[in-house]
Amino acid sequence: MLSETIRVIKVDPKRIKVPEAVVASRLGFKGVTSIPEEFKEDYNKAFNIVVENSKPVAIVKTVPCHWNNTLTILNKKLTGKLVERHLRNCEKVTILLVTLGEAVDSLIEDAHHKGDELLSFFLDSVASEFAEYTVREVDRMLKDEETQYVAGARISPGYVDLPLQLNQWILDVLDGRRLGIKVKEESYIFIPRKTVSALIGWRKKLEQK
Amino acid sequence: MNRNDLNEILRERVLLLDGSYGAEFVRRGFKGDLPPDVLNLRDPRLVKGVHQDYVNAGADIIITNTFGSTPYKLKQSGVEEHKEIVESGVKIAKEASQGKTLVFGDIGPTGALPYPLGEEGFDFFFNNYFETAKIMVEKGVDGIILETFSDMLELKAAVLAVREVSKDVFLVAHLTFDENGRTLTGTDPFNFALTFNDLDVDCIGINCTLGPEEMLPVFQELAKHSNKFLSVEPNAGLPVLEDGKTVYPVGAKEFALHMDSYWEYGANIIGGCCGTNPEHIRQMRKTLGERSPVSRKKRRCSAVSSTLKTVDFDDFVIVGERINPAGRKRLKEAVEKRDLNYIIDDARKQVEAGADILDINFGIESNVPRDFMEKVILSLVYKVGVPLSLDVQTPELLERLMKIYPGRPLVNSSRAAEEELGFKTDLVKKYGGVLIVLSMGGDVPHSLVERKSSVDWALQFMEKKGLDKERIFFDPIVLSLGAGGNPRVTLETLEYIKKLGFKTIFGLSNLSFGLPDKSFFNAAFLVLSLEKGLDAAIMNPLDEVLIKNLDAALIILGKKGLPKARVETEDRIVKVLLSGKKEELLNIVKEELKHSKPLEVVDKHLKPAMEKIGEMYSSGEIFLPQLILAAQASKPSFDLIERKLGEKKGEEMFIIATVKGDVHDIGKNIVAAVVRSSGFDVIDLGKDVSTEKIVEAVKRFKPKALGLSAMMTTTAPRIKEVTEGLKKQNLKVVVIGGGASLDEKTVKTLGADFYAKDAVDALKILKKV
Repeated sequence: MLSETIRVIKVDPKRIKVPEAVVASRLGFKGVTSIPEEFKEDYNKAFNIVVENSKPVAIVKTVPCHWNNTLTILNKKLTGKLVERHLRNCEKVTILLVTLGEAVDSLIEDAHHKGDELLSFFLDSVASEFAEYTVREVDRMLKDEETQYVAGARISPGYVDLPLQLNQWILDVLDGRRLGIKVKEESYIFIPRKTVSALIGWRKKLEQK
Repeated sequence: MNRNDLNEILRERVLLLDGSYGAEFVRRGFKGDLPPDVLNLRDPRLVKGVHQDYVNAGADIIITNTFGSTPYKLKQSGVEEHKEIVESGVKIAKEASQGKTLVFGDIGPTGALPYPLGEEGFDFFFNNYFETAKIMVEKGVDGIILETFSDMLELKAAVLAVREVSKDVFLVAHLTFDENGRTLTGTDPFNFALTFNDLDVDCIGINCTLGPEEMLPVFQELAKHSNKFLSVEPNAGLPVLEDGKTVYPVGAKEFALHMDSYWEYGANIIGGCCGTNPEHIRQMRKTLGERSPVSRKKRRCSAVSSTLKTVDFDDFVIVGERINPAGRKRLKEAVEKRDLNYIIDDARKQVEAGADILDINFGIESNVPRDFMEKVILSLVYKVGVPLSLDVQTPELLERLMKIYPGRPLVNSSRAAEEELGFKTDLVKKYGGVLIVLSMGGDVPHSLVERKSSVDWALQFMEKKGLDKERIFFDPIVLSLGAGGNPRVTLETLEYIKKLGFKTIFGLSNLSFGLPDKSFFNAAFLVLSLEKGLDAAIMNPLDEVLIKNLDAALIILGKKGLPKARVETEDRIVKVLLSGKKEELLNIVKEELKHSKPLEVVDKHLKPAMEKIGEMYSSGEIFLPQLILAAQASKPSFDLIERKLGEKKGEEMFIIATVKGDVHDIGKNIVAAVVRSSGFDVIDLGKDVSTEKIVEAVKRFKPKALGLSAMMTTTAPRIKEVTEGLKKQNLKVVVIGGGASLDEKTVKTLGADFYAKDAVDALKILKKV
């Protein structure tokens, strides 16, 4: 259901499956498909901490948009290669924010202050992927619900030429402050750190390819 | 559909391929007592039903039920109706599609292995694929997909066969990889990309053996190096046995969640292999929706390969010259007597002595049977695992050997003359390879002017031919000193070619032809050439004088590290550090402190051990978590030494901070830990630190260097603010910049002195300044 009303979706962290190979890659274990045995304990520890301390929440709103060489959403003009490639000719755009909450940030910081850089690094890597796979889960839920429109790719500020400044606009549109989300002045980084924003474009389904 | 049209579509959209067929047939009643391809004749309705389910699930492409339909493979099961099965396979798929999807002809491997691993040669594979592809193209498939191949020679034969049938059919070529990231015959994804970038295929990819999770790192590596469209079809997980049945554990929804990762790394065609069914494709359709592909940069790489090994030319490359019967009586006899084992042993000796590539010259080629030459090439590639330089004079023979070569060969060489260069450029474009071009057109050129003119002409000529720059090497030509050759002209030509940005290689031994003390002449000239930027030499790796001089010159020129006398405790400490055993290290340090001064313990034991670990990280021997673990394990020992030392020494101090506005600090923390573990006194100012605070800290502590981290493009300009702040206060300190948004060029524009890509890089800079 593509609703123009802001929806807040709580996600059960236990439902989020993050492939071990993906975390292994983020940790710098190049070309391997699983975490090496000697680091399994560190990985499991970090993973459990993230699952137990994350409170994944998504804020979602879908609005009509207009394409005329640039994309206009809620009077905001979006330009650039990424928008043109993935949102061209869309009829609606879902604006999305997902956060794991503040607790994970504090735990990453605590580990660093205690001199346990390895745990800090593992927590940070696991949490980053956990946020990404929470977004995927929410994305899937939206696509499961929708029958009339077909989605394109999910794109995020900070990638290719979609400016990070857009994070401020997304936060305002979704009123993310009520969930404690802020945007850092100047750098447009979200606080809590494990917060992800995204846009998904939708087009009417066609009968025949 | 026309090949060009499909290429155009793939630039705009990611296409969804179908899933597996075999298991679906079984699920619908097929007993598995015949090859599934036979169902095209015996039960076409069953085949059509599965196709239709994939069409209805949202696939953009369905593949014909002809995976095992090569004449050889069908005959192995006693089936003779090859033509009928393939024809029917295409017809059924087209009927099921009704124009809603594309139909690709599916061809799998024959199941036979190439010589010397098996008995079959290139022509056997080529003919099998030619027969099958011909029928498919005649029956109007939109493309052909070569799937589940485990050997590059067989896949190359299949690609060339399909192209012999049609230049206009869209062609996909897949290898299948094990969890160790290699195919059955030892090829890794980099080598696969390198070799098939040269060939006339539209799309390369991976299928089978691995599930979506296990396949991802292999796919990432392929995507990093390939210039083609990319396709991928994972299995539905790694199979498990349940009640005697093979079960693929990854369900449709879980499978689909992985698709974003493949898309992110550049997949253009995505489907499923063993264990996937129409429900998997339905879920993938939902996840993928209708999306454009991610843009990828074209990669350029001057490397050559065999099936097992890739050699790039970033470091100096030794091409072993000894497989050449000229002046080698015993080798000549071996060639005459077809003594393959002698040649293999000879090759191994060169490789063991340090040769990266072997030059192959058969002498008078008309005297050597062609099949023996092919056996030599394939045995050296598969058994010795070394890439080859084909020093072959007869044009038809060169073409044949390039055709059957499994990998990317070095082609040695072509004169800069229209007919010869035109022919050889066409060969490397068709069969793959890197071409060495001599800086001579007709007669042997004695002057620099003549050689430069040949190089310039060749470049213009090859540009028109469309051969990529990284696949052209130049030979500045070494002439015999005894016969009046002037080595200075060679050096000047070498310099000229390097200025043009090309790789250089020459045959070194020509220099000393007919002279006494050959080794010394060769060694002296090699050293002089290295200084001018020579990238590779065809030379004798068994010549100890030459190799020792080469090593020394590379070290002097900073192209190779200094050899180190190994200290026993260093190795012990490395082991302890890598296993993170803080207490054990502390005990070793306490023991050393009984008879050494604290600084001696740092300089003689801890620093060298961390240096070694840094080198291991840089060379990929260990991974980042091991580097962090080692740094962390050293901390209590350094704390102890610091307490013994008392006052800290300013010149060994390093200040680090993440700039104002940026709250990323994981990378910065790792740098701080690693630098600290190498004996530096580190002050970590933290993240989101104001420019004033950073400048103030430099003023107060007068460190050896300042590290500034900025992860975002929005925060990188803060580095400039800091460097300008330091300037204003006349504070002289080396500034090192790092972070995801930076590179060498950017940090310089921001006023920093150095860019460090990681912690080990930062440490190297600190030691240098």
